[in-house]
Amino acid sequence: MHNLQGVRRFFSKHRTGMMFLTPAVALNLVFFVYPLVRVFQMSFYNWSVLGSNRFLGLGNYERLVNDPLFWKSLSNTVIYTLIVTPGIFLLALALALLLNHKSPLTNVFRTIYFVPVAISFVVASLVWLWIFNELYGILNYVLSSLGFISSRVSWLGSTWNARLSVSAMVIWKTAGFSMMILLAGLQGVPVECYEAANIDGANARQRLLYVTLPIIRPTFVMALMVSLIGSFLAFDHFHVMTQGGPANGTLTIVMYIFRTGFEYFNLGYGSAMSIVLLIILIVLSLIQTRSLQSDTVE
Amino acid sequence: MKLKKWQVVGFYLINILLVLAFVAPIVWTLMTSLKPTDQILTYPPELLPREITFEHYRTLLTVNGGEFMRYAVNSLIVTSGTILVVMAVSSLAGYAFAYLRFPGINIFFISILATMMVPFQSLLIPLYGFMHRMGLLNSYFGLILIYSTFQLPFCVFMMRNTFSALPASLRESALLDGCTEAQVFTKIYLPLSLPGFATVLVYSFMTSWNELLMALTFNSSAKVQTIQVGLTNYYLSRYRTNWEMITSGSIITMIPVLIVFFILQRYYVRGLTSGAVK
Amino acid sequence: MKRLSIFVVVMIVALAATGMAMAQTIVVWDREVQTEETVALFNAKMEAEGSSKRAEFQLVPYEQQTQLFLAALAAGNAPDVISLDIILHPYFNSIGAFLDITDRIEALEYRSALPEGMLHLGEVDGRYYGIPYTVDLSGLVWNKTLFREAGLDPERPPQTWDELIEYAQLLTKDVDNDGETDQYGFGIVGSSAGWQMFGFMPVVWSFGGDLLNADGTEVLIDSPQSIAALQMWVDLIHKYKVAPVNSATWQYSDVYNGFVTERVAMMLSGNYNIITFQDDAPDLDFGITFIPRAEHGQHASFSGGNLMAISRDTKQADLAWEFVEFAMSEDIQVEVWAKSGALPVRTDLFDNKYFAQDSRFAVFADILEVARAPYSTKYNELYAPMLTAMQRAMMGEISPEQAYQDAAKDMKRALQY
Repeated sequence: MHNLQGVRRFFSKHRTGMMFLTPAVALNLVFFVYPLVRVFQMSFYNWSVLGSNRFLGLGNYERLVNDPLFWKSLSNTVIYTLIVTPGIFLLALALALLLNHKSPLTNVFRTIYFVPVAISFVVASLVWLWIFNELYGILNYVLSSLGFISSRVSWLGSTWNARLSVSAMVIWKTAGFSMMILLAGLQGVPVECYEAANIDGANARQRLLYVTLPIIRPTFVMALMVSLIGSFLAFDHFHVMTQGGPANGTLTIVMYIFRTGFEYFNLGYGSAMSIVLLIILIVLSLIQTRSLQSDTVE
Repeated sequence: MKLKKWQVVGFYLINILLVLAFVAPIVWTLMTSLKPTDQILTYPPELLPREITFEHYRTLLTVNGGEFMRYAVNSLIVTSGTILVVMAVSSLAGYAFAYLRFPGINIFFISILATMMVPFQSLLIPLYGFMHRMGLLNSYFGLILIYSTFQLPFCVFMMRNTFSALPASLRESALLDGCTEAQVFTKIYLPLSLPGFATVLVYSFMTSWNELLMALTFNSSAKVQTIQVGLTNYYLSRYRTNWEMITSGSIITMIPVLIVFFILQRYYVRGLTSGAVK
Repeated sequence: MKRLSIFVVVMIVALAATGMAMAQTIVVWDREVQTEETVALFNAKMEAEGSSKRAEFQLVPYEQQTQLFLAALAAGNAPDVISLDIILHPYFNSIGAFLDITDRIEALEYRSALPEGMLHLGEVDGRYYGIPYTVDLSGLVWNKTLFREAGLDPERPPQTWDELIEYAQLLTKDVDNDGETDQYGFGIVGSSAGWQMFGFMPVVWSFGGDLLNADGTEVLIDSPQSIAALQMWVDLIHKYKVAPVNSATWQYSDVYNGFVTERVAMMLSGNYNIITFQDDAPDLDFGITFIPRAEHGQHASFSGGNLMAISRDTKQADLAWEFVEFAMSEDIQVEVWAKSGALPVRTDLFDNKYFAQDSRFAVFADILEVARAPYSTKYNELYAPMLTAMQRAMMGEISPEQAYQDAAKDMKRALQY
């Protein structure tokens, strides 16, 4: 419908929807899309803060493709995401199911599991850096005092150790948040569904698999997507705990973008990497939605 | 459903073990904040303070003529402003995505979600330039708008899902009865979305309260600094990690967030929607 | 009536204009809290003199300093005065961010007391764009108590690396007899580019090697002397075993905490830690001296710190310079900086009452003589491959020779962009 009549009809038919949507879209366009367009622009230049910018066409993108460190940081990020996400979700789901009952202390327990979420990532990283130190850290001290280990463990001393240890810290820190989201979803499961299942003679496991999980699927998918994207953008904890080391083994993609822009002053190149990262994440999200999404449950 | 006795005991046992594991680092942080400075870096590590001292808290709260109170007020203003904006905007948008769809609406959804997919550092320079030109630097309003924009993805997503999980039939029958969309939204769906709202509120409060980089970038003038920015001054010098400040500062800033979460627990009540279908 | 209202309007506008002209403000950025104090003192002085000139201070944390300055520059909102990390000045001068203050500097009465090495970092084609403001120097810290326990003279720190190795071997022990070393003779900060440069570059220099040539155009890291320095460094870990095996992942705070808890006997540190050690462990008995030199080399040190610069586009150049002079005055350099344990940047002020109380500061006057910093517009970008290569050598994955040859290749590639 390219004629004016059709357009006007379209707008008036969907007027309410558009009005409801306007505030969000306005904020989004002004404070996100506009700077993003500038970043997109910057990615085609050897961009300098003052003075002249050299036009490079696709130069930054070519450089990116041939940059071993870009690919390494991307693969580091993917590996980390693959470790952390199942960890967070298994724990969050277990906690949410555990605390889906009313009991006098449920609120207290839930709040306690939420406590790590309430501190900032930087502070948590500093504290855990201290805990993990192989020489004077508490973890080694406690474990060896209790006799669980015979020699000191270097928690952050090698690439894989660092990956796993930092992941453990992140799981500890964010499980409570995903738990909160899943709890909200679980509350939406009508009691009648459980009662119906009971009447049909279902046991706990069957109730979980056939009643609970399908109903909270949209919530689960959302929580998963948010967590996944968040992991892809990991920066603070690695920056504080490993600085990307050893030998770039824990360098995440955002750390590399940050360095490129603010330590090497290659802002155009950093912008190109940001655009590529955005495209990757959009594609990932679309794939995830297609394969996991179900329609709203009636 | 009545739980058997062993299930009750098991419930408490598992929880207590998990609680210990979760809370240990926090207890450590709390204990450290109560220790005299020279007892903090010791080996073997000592959990309990040799003498409980509140000097670090006193320092934080009284330094420079009590500028901490100013930071706290600034944080409160920005945080409450953001919560109001976010809750209003995201529930309207979430409702539209759930029930007022039109061809092409997904573009907007993707655009809003994309906000989560770009690290703030990448947008920092163009966004700063824009805020400067608009005269929004060092203002409550400017920071509230920025925070709202970057919190939208999660909140819109959350509210959309919350509304979608409710039966569409409620809306259909209400419209048939002659209600306007606005009335359906405010009188029917909103009241049934309390768990979702609670989540959004906690998220928005926590994110706004703990946020550092944007506040530092846009509101670095002393008059409008938020708590996190103000405290950073004391946390890290290049030469030394100020453990006594970091731990006491974290405990202070953490408490409001936990209080909010604890209070909002009552909205995670099952069965809110079960009667509605009937 | 109309003439009266015109008159009133003109008077109001004139008064407003005078008012605006009279209230001048400059914005000052720094990452150090001491400058905040300096600004407060400056404003107090201006008020006492009845002037309406003021300075507004913004504390910009070290971590975010570069990001925020870049954003401000791009938006045309740069601060009038900024105190910025010395090694970043070559880059910012290459894009013309700062004002030429050569004549003003030459007119200072204490001109000869300004460290030449630092001035050089703010120099382009013989003109100065920054003035030394704060200085950090690296040295060796040693634990006198542990020295005594090992039978070493606590007042005689090692002068050469060979001596250090010898002493460190006596200081590396299994204190609780559980089969594992729990006290190390030497601590290495392997994980941070900044700390490696601050501590390790002087070692390379002392061996006769270097990262780059004088104007930063040529890579010298793969020279035999540089490689020899790295070999010694790696040997400390794997051959002599006086530094922890995983030193490549140790952060500065790890080594610092190790020293404070007396699990590490010696480490490379800086003048600022003289005060912080006393805060964190008042009973710690430590000394600080030159970084050891190679057998046939000279002592060296890294002069870090800040230069103060004025923004090229400032509208208040005179007021900005007035503030700079105030910040460089004896009152401030001694009463604000020396009092809090930092070094005054003017060598004519080293002999002050605060330093007289703690003899450990005295050595830094001598260390300043041998200190330098590398000049490069791509400082961070060039050091990154060097750090990566060093970490791999320190983890025993590749030989030091291989490491620096790989690093040189990456650095040459970075230089060509």
